[in-house]
Amino acid sequence: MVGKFLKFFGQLLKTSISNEYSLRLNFWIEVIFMAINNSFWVVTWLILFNKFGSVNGWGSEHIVLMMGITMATFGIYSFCFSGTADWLAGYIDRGELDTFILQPKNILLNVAASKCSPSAFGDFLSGLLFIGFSGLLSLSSLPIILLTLVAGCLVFLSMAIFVGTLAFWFKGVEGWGTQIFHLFLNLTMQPGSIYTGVVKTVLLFAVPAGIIAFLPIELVMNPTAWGLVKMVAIPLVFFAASVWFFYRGLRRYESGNNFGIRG
Amino acid sequence: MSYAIEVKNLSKSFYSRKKQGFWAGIFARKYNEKKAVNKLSFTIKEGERVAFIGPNGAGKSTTIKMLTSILHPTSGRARVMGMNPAEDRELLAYNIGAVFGQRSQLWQHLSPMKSFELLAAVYDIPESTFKKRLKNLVATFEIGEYIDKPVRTFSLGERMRCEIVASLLHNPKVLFLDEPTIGLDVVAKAKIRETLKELNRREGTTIILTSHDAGDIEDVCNRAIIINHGKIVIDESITKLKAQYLSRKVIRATGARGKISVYEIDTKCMPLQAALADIIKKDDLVDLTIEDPSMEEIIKDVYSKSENISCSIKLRGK
Repeated sequence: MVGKFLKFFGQLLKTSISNEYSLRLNFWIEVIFMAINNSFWVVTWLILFNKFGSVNGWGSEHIVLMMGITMATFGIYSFCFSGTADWLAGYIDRGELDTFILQPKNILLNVAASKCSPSAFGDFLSGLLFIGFSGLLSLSSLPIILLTLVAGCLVFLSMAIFVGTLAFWFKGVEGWGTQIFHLFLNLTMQPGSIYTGVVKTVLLFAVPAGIIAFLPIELVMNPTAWGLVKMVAIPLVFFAASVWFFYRGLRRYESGNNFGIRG
Repeated sequence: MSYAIEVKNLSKSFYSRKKQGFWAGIFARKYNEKKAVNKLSFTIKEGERVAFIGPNGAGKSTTIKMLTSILHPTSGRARVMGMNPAEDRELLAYNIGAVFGQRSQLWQHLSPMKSFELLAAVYDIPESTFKKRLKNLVATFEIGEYIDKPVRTFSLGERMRCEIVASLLHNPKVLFLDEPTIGLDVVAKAKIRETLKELNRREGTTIILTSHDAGDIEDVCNRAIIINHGKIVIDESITKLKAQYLSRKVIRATGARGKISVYEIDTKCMPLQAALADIIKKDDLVDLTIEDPSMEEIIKDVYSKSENISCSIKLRGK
């Protein structure tokens, strides 16, 4: 069972990556420019932190680590599951889920892994570079960072599923859904130390950007069992809820008759 | 022989919001109901080749989508190979194949071979079985020449042949085809029809086909279910259907100077002998042929009767 699942998932990823990589020049241009784009963000934060010293206890090394984690997690999510945020709402809106429903595999996984974003590879590479460059990578912080990469990826995936699934109820989600998803992405790209009080609680339990934006840095600075529980439990609960939400919406699916080809 | 498909009182309605005022739209929302399929009942035996036909919006695609798990019925019951499409989606998917002329299972920048390899993983086909099956299908559909080229470079006919191969890799018991020859030229259409019949003969695959092309229906199927406004208008064998609607005859009369006159008569309104006598009297004939109407004309006739348009006599010259 698990073997068949992994074989299918591996083959699907291989196919969607091959599909993008067939246009090699496009692929590498997207990778390189995304890495350059990410570097501008980090340089801007470094200039600000060098001017103001620290923000609520965070120094420049913390913001570099946070940015590295955000880029790497978003990179993994977007490289493997780009079909969700960028495509799910469109598939539903245009009635193009037919191909996925007809196949004897998990519909959501099939849709999510059906698209690979080349620029995400640039995100991932620059993320790893900044994690290393932060100076906070050590034997004790490595397990926390690795756990964050998985948890963060799950959080991005859950949010993308939630937003895309709205298309079962509303028309035109493809446009404004992307805005909502990017708003969420922006929340993970600000220094987590600026979030305090109620906002911090909301960003952990209601809109879990904190799983990427501040919880990993707090765990690297001061590892606690409660922090680790939150890091594992919150993404799992959100992911389970998003999957439930999708299958609830799927009952409302109305197929379409548009012409289309994969890729 | 057991049933491949059993449908009882199957219905599907689509709902759209009525135009209302701002507050009424929020607090007392009203909906328009459109019955796409209305209490449809029929059975299809294993190995049958059935044409599911009707005008645009008749409910053919909606019915096929309910039988393939894509849409959930509003009410009624459907069984495909003994399974409920609304509940047993994954299990059913191993037993059916579907080709939607306007949808693709192939990846545009990759070769069909890469898509087939993915489908082998999707349907859990063991490698040795996959290779053997693919070899047979490649030979049957003659796609060996371009199996390793990117799909984006294909003609529509080449793509459609690969689509059908993709839907047959897992050896489905039932094959659904929705407009499989849409946009194809005559040669490509003939090739696809011929291979579908061959598949049915060799492997006993049940074929359910919807098409607006009468040739598809006439060449491939042995039974036709004609639906209109979500209801069955006629469920008949192709032979009987043709016989029943063959009252119309096209007569071509060639005169001594090579002039050809074409007459169209309805034998229900005018006996064939009387019509022939009339024609023979008028022309100095050297040749005379009597033809049956094409399947397309028959279907047109069936539709018009379902709309209660009365029979009329036509004797048309030139």
